[in-house]
Amino acid sequence: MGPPADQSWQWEAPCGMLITDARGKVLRANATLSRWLGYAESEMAQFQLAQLLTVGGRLFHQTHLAPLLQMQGSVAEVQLQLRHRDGQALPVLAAIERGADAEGNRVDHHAFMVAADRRKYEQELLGARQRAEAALEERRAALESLRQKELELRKANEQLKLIDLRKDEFLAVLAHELRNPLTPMRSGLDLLAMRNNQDPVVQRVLGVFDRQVALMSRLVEDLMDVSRIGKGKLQLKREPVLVSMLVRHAVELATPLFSKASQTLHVAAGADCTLDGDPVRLTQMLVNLLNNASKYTHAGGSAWIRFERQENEAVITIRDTGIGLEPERLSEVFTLFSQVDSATERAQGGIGIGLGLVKGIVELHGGAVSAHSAGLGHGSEFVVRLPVAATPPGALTPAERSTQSAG
Amino acid sequence: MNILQRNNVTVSGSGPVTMIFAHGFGCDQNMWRLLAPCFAERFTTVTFDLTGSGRSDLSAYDRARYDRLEGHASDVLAILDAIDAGPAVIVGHSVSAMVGLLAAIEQPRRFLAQVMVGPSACYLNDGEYLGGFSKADIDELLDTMDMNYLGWSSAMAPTIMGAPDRPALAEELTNSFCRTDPEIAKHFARVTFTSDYRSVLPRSQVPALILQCSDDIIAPLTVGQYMHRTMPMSELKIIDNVGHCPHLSAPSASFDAIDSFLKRLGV
Repeated sequence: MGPPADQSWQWEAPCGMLITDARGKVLRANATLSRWLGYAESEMAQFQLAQLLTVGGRLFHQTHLAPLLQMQGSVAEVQLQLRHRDGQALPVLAAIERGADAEGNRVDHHAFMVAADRRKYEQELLGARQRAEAALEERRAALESLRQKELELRKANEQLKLIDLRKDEFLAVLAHELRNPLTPMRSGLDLLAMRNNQDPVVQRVLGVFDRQVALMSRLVEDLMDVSRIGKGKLQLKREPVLVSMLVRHAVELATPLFSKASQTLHVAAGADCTLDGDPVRLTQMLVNLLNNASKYTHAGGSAWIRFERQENEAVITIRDTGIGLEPERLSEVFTLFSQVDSATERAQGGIGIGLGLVKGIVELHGGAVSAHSAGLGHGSEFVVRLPVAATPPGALTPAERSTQSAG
Repeated sequence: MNILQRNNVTVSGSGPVTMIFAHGFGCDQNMWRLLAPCFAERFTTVTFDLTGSGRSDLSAYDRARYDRLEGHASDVLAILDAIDAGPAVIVGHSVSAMVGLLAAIEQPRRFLAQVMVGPSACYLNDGEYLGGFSKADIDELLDTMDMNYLGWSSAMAPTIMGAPDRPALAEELTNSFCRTDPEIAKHFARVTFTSDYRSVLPRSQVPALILQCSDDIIAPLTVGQYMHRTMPMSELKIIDNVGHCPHLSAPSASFDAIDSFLKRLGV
């Protein structure tokens, strides 16, 4: 067997070449391929192509290459494994083209290139794909877990909101129900007081009842107000009101408490200004702060209430020499029922509504309230900031006019 | 995901009898593109991708379920249920010929006939039984799977579709082949080439056509002859063809053989 003279270059080519007939019988093989497989060129013609392939190569050839050749007449860059005479596998890349010989018989032309690195390349490619998929999967799992957590959080939030809503409703009903028996109790007490009974024991008991019913009524009212604020149902009866007036009224209402505890309440007046607010509610708010100052200050202590105008804000400061606040409590004192967890504070007669109500009323007026303290034993300071009313110049109060001329 | 989406089921043709085509190892339903349309005039034809192959839902490939061919046989029955098929003929190539046999043994009344293209009940030589492969051959073959993944997965795709005028489709198909998980391909190869279903052959009660190529190194003539001897109600038809895929390389001869078999049965 020898190549035609005009094709001799092919037979010296640096690739293996092979021609088979339609049934896969080897017709010719070039020197390069014969050498790779360990045969003499003359020996190659005894083989079927299948005999030169490994088992896997044969399977792949039959299930993939042969149908491809049948359908498109050629295949290229397909990995196969040839079998060396000594049994060793030779990995090659194959290109096969279907054609016809001079007599018109079907023949397949095969060209093989040694491709020893192909496996490594495939492994690397697969490794990279697997790594990318693993990373993607990890990311997907992380996102999914995040999504789940968000969902759980949202559910928990919704449940909390529901619980909060139910709590508010419960408190509203409770306050309402508590107020009903208080009214006849108050009337009964008033009737008894009118009887002019001089018995000191009766007088003392009546006094106790009177104070306790008053305290209870105030707590119930506060509770109702808090509930109204929570539901957005607290209606403000707004009108222009002087800060100095608010402070004066609040001081009047709180003074008995301070007197009883032998405490001194100092009032410091700064520049006055007008607010657009509900005088009853604003006074209630200041009284709450003053009551608070008295309640948490020891007998004989002092408290100060100061008001002034700072730009477009009225600033009212209530300071005391009382027990003070721990730094970590400062942010939570305005939270409703924040005192309920402290037995000491409960003993002081608070259920944590007062400051919550203060915050609610101040915020309804577009203002803000903050608490300050240098720590336990160093007293507390509450600062209320309320926006000054945009009153036309003609409507300025005398106090405001004097402030402006002084400025 | 329902089974029709999961196994990328394609239903065409029309006729009271359903002909379901199950592809062999290493490819997908496109292997039937030359043969299945020939039957579409008389039959409702169904092609699909085995779970883990082609464009089936790869995530549905459960190693425990598909550790035996019975898993795929159940899928075939479920697909027939899902399309509410009446009497059916199952045409299975290579490993799927055995899948079809298992389905027909499971529900014999559902099938009028079974066509087994290049089947093998056992690839391994065992005493007097000549399956065509030694243990070392099978080991080497499975090893080849490891090293020739890209060849297995992508070489076929563009051309099988015969879609030079529709490059997007060819590309899409190549991508779907490339997506085939090499671990699934290896597992399926192991299940296929180490399977031995010789013992179930006598239980076949559905008329069977064993279509054998005259020169097929994967399913040699000895295998076809053994199956014909062992299966009741079977016929052996040898097509003069080199290779393992007569439905691609000799579609006309394959059609003639199947068609005359079915006509003889009155189907």
